[in-house]
Amino acid sequence: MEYPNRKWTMVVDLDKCNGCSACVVACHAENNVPIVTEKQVGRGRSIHWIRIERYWEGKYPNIRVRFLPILCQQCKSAPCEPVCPVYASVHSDRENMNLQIYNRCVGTRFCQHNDPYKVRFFNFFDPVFEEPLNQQLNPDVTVRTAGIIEKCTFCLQRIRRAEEQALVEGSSFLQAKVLPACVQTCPTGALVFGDLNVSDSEVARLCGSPRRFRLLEHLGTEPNVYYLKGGETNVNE
Amino acid sequence: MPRYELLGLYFDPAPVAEAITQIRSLGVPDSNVEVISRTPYKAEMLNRPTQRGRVGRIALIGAALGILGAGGLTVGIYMLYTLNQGGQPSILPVPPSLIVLFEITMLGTMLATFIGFLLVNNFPRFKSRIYDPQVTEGHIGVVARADDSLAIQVEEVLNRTGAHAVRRVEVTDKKDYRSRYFWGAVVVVPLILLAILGLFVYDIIRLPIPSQMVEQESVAFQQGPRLPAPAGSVPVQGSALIAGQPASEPVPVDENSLQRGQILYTINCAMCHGAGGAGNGSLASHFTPPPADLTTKDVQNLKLQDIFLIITQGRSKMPGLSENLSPTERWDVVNFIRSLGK
Amino acid sequence: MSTSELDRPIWAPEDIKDEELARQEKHLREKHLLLDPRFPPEANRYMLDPMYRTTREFWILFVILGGMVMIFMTTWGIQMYWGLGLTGLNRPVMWALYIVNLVYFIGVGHAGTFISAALRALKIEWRRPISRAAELVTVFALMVAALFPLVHLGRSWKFYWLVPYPNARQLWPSFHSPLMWDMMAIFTYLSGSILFAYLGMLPDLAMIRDHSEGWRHRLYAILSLGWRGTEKEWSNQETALNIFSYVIIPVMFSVHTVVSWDFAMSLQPGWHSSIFGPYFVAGALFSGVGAVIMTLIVLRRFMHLDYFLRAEHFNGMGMFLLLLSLTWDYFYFNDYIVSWYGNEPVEKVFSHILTSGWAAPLWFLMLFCNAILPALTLWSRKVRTTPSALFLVAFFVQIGMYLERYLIVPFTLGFNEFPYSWGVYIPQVPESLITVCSFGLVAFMYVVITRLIPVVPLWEVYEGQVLHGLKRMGRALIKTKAEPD
Repeated sequence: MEYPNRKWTMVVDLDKCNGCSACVVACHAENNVPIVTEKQVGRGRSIHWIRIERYWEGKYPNIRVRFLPILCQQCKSAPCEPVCPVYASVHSDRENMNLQIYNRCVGTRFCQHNDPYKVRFFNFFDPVFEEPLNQQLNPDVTVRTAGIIEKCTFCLQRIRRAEEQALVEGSSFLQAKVLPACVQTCPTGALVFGDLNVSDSEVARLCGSPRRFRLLEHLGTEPNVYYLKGGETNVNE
Repeated sequence: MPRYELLGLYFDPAPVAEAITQIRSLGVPDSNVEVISRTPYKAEMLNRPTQRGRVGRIALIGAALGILGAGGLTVGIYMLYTLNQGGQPSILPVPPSLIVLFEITMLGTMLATFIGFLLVNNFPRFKSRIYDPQVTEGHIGVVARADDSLAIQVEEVLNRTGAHAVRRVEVTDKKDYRSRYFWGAVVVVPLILLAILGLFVYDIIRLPIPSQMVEQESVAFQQGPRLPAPAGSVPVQGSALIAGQPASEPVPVDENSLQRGQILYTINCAMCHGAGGAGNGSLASHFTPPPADLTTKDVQNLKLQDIFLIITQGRSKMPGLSENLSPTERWDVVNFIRSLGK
Repeated sequence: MSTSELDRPIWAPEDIKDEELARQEKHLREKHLLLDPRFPPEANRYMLDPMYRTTREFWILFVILGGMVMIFMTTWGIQMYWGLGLTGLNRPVMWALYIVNLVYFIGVGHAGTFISAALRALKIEWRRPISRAAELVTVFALMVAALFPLVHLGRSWKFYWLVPYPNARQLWPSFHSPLMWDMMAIFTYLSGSILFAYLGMLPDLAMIRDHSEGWRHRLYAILSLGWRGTEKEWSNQETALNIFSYVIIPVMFSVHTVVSWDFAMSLQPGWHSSIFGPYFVAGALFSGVGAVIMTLIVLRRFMHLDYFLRAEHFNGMGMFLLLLSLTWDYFYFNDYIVSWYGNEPVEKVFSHILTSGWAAPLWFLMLFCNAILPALTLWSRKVRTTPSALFLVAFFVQIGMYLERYLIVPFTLGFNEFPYSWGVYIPQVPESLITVCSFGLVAFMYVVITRLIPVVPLWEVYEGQVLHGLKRMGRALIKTKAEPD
């Protein structure tokens, strides 16, 4: 079956993000992302496929905070890919995404070093899902074991299911109906997802905005996540 | 092959050169004379012809094989396995391929040099040749091979020039095949090991390794342990299981039910579970785990509603039959299955 | 004493009538190994006796080092079972002590081949008694280094996926990755070193075969492959050793360059530098020569190899160490000034923390050990020829080079473009134990091999003694070396 080429893109509107972290929780729920214990988080091993980075500016009482939701940028020229010796990190030309193949990963962690956004996460221990959290695990997503690198996949399982369903039902595939968990949950609508190839999609419209920028563009990674400038929160106002 | 081998031991190199000259003048060809020492003496020092070796040529063969091997490896892998990585050219990125080419060429050269060295010298030697351990104590040995009359003359020369120990050994023509066995083993044993490895690599022998992530904690539709229904919920199909109430069988166990159950069983269940319920249907061998033997105590001791639910929802590889059978039909089958145990 | 006529054995003492010349001859004999041939059975015993004599101290050392090897394996097993979380790794410092050890041991493994192959090619004669000890350091350091990629893998038991082999799923490894080049390079270098060492060992194994009985005789008869010492064997061996020397020198350069590309190919600020290739090779040679010096001094002391290892050898190695120290200084300064001058934000952070932050003690210690101490001490011939002083300098060089790799790997990884993702690495018990015990593993293998293989290549020494002589020029005796065409 020939599926058409897609250019899955996410737009993050920093003006609308208020740092509520609902996207983080949704991602955990959808993708079986393990909760490492408090002690491990203290050691710097937390796993959040999407995280809200906070940057504080100024001194009290004139503090300003900026939120930066950062997830895998799904770079077109991903630096994390060529360094994997076992082809666990490869590029999907059709979907324009960076794929991580869990059962191929041997855990060299080179991809994590070459990733300038540091959005790849290593399972230092076997994930533990305590009762009754193990009943909530998503069967569409592999539960990873220790020694494997994982990262955001733009909820590829949802995209694939929508494509297959459209095929089975004979209906047309509506890219607007496919939402990753974080986009679905974001209360302010700061996250927008879609196919940039579809010229009348929401993402295509937002990408025309003059506020548009990408992270670390000088490195030439050509990320597929666009940010819209804005987003200063004055805490004391 | 001349009949005798003679060895003369000397303390120092000067009389050796003299002895060699005299042996040559006796008519013994240079190829039948050898000098054994614990340090290399250059040929000119002892009046010997220079040795030309084939090791260098064998090394070049190794280098060529290395280049071919590396080329095959890099080009081959890229062609067999075209995956896009980071926008780098997926057919033959040149710089990485050059690195691999260099390393494997050098490896080939070195391996070929070593193996060539062994082959050219006929190492490892199984057949013992004439030798004296005093050579490693600093003595220099002159070995000459000659037939009867010449041998006596050579022995005289050795004694005359000052050899302090002269020995004569008769050369046997006995063939020693140990050398062939050795090289045969060197070739065959790795092949056997590779073949055994191939059994594992091609999944002919499958090792159940837990980290393959085949067994998942998450529970998919029609899989995994069934959770008890919460109190107050109403079952969708029939009164098979209402929380808090004892199980009921809406269809009484009588002749008609059993007969209907048997017909329905033969149509829907027998191909996997077998005509008698022993788990030996014609499709049974295709499933891992195999279809359950319904006559065992484990199955027979199941509560009626559990059997009903298994037929409705399926379990593991068994599909749910809620679309094939109505609830009463399913109860007939349940009654029939129960009768199998009697 | 003139060997120009080969009219008597080189070890037979010559009667020199002139008193002055006799005194000079005696002095030169004491100073230079290659002018001091001894009665062959006696010379052989200088090497055989230490091999056969196993003292109580040896067994104590054996037990201690064996214990360290056990601890290494056990800790690794525990880490494989529970996961890499037992170490101090975090995000972003995903490579730490194991990679530092990998780089360090590969570095140590460079000197052996350099001394053996490059000095052989350059016809530097003081390499003769030290080449085998150096080669053995290379072989064992490389073996232990090759363990570390396995130790640091998240799923070590799947390491064989990095080997290109045909399989049912038609999966192949990726040659885009520097780790694959690493694997090829280390495998080539290790095999080459082992074969090179073995090839050079054959005549000496034959000698032991002739001087042993029982199981030893059988073992060495097998290992020496039936070596007799005929001209053909010597000539082929020389050709083979020459080919090996010329091939393994470029391989040696390439190996550490490829290891450096593990770092240089990444986008990590502080790593993405084109100087890494030669920088690492120079550093490798530097630490390796230091390690070989330390090994030789220990061997000389405990195996009483004073006949073979003399002041001239340590003098040569000491000068070599000084030269390498200056080379390292050159490359390090190159790397440092470029980042100091450039004002690039992340590299500014590095410079600040290295010079005046929490890493400053480590940085200054490294500079002292690598740059200042050798430069201050190794100029003096007295220091170079005093074993204990040279040992100390070489030891500090090891500390300095280890610190250098530590500052390159875990320290640099802690900083990147997003300050939110900065982290500090603190070594924990498992990797510290494994690190310490890896040194024990190398020492263990080395200590065992000294019982089985003569650490001084006797035939090379004897060959040198045949070729070296004294020539009388006027009122003085001069050392000469004959070089056959």
